[in-house]
Amino acid sequence: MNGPATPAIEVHDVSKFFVSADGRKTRALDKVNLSVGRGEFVSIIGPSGCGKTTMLKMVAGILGWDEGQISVMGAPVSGPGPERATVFQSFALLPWLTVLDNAAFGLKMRGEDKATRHAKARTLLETVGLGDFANAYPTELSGGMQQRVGLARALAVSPNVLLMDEPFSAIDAQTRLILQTELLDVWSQTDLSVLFITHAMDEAVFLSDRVIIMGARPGHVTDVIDVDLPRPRTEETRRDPRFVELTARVWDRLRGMMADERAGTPS
Amino acid sequence: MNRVLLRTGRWFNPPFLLSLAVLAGVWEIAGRSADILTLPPLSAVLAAFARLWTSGALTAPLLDSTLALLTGLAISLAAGSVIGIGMGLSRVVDVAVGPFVKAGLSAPMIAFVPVFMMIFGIGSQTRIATVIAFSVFVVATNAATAVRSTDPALLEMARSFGAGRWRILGEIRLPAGAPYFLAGLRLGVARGIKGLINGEVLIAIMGMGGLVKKYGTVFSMDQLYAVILLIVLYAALAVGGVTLLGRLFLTEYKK
Amino acid sequence: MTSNAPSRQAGAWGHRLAASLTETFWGRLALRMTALAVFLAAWQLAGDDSIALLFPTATRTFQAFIELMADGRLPLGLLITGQALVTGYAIIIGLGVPLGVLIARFPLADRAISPYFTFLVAVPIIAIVPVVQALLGLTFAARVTVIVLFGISYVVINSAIAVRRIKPDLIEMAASFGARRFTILSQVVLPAAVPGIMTGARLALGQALIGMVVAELTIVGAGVGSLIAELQGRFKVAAVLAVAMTIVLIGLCLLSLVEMLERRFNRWSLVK
Repeated sequence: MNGPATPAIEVHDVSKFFVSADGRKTRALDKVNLSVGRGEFVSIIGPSGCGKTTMLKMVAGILGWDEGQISVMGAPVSGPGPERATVFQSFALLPWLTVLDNAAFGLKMRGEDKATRHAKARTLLETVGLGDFANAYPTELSGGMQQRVGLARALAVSPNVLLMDEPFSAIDAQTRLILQTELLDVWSQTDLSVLFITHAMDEAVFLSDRVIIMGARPGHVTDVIDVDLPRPRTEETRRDPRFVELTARVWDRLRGMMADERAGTPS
Repeated sequence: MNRVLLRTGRWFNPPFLLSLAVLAGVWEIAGRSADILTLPPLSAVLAAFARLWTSGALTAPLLDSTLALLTGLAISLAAGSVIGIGMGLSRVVDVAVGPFVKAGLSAPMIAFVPVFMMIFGIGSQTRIATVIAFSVFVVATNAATAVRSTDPALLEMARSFGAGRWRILGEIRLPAGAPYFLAGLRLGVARGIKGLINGEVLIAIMGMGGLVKKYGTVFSMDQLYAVILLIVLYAALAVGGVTLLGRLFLTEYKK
Repeated sequence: MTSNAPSRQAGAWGHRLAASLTETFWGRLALRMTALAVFLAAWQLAGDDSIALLFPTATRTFQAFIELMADGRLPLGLLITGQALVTGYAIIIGLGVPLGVLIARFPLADRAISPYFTFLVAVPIIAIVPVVQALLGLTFAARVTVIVLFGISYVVINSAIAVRRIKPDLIEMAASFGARRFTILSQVVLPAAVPGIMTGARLALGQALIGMVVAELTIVGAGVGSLIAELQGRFKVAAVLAVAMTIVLIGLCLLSLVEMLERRFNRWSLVK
């Protein structure tokens, strides 16, 4: 692990319960521990229902938890904060705003005046390659372009920590690969710490310094795999035998877990 | 619209019943204490309802109105289905008459009631015409949707077995569109009742609407409220009945 | 499909004609104009002008319309009636939208008051008119009240549903950037609900128009209601029909106007 003493994100013994409609209390997350070092890129991967998105929303401060502590940049989380920004799976763009106003939305919420937020948003749209689309509306853009707007919106507020909730899962496979490389490009120019949720194994390995594997019922951390691939990572990396090997290792863990589950549950 | 009703129309819940009870209490107290002509206490209204009901004064208008409603609805159903199925099957028919059906669906058809009264006279025909004017377009619109919304895969399947246009209509399109027909029927009944009561109030001497006019003009307020109560119950029961029938039919049908 | 060649050929030809009539703007216009002409011709044939009391022909109705316009009685009546409509509709929107938002955001408000609005949708409002008349008399306020009772529930219910249907992601997104409750309401919830509110506004206008006619015919004032009553008393069927058709056509124009607005707003919020 790199970075100074306090990690960017620290999750300690966090549990969460859901109360179902019939009043039964079920444990959604069970004593989850994880950390993301400063400037580190960490992915969480796991089957659906393992609580990985729940985990991210708790770090983002938009969802509460029942036991344990979560701190970001050394301070306990008690709600959303200016040091964090989130990129959403569904892009969560406001269809009635232009691309520029969408990218500037986070700054608007932070009370920046119009000139400042437009200037900042314009710069970041350039960074993600959407400089020419500032006056378009989100529905006129492809999924990949929409998520670039989502990324620009998050980066515009100059966060220390970037939280990404399956950001590329609604995007076609080719565009995904391109977006992964672009994300790494942008990230390498900053000191951002990233927590990245995904269900794609190659994506997790390609992007991350570490891959955290979570299991379901209740959600818990089963494995952490260190990814020792050299940076900068390029298209060459995908052909690296080490990349293939690490991806296979992630798959082994996930497959083992799914086999256990099938053996453990009747029917 | 009726989907909306089902979503938010939870009548039997404590806060609503409480607010209803408070309203009823305020009504009763206001009606008793302030001797306002236009606001008889709730108990007097309920008593009037019971009195009118047992005396049989409501029975004849109720049956009379129901007969007119059923006649009008039958005509709407027949005419609306023919127009709607035509629209659903043929693009030419759809383009030619579609805009007029859509206009009839949203236009304030009630404006024609005075004309009906002059042409058909102060009689049952006028309110039947009103029922039709209120309900035929919604039946037609839903019938068109019913025929049009068939799953293309089912149509291809039927064609691949050599079924012709009319067999496809009978065997595939109509059964598959049954839910839309039922929705059309339900909306038709809801609108038809409104048409019926509108017509009757404006004609002023027939059926339940006639009673509204009768008691309203002589300021016999407890009886007026009792008749309004009857109309509300009538509308709720009729629409609820069709909804229930439709649901029973559909659950049978989906198995 | 079809086995014999000639009929297939005829079918293909008919198909081409049908396509040119339905798939081009001018074709559709021609088709609709033809339908309108058929309707007018049928009307003309069905009418009988020998006695004023009988169903009038299209031409007699049009003449009556011209006369009513020329002597200024119809425009004046429409103007007076229109005031009640405009006032009532303004109240429907101004009161209905906040009520809908309230119902959507507060479950208690939903449970306590939304059944009253579903009740107003289900019930023939005309049955309540005598009560309104007894309370408010033959006044402008009474007519406006009738219009509001007819229309308001559609705005309330549709606004509530629109607010409730907002994708939770959008609210989470705004919250993640630190937006507070009121900011989320004004910057995310209300704009996202605009298309649904517009749908409610369109439905409410249709009902308000019915309410307007009901108010005119039952709580007779100086508007088209008194004009109709007077023409009815003199057995002028053609004139009454002309007034009725004018109301319907103006109503349709207003409805198309609101529908155009609705479509405009719908486009802005097409969420993929």
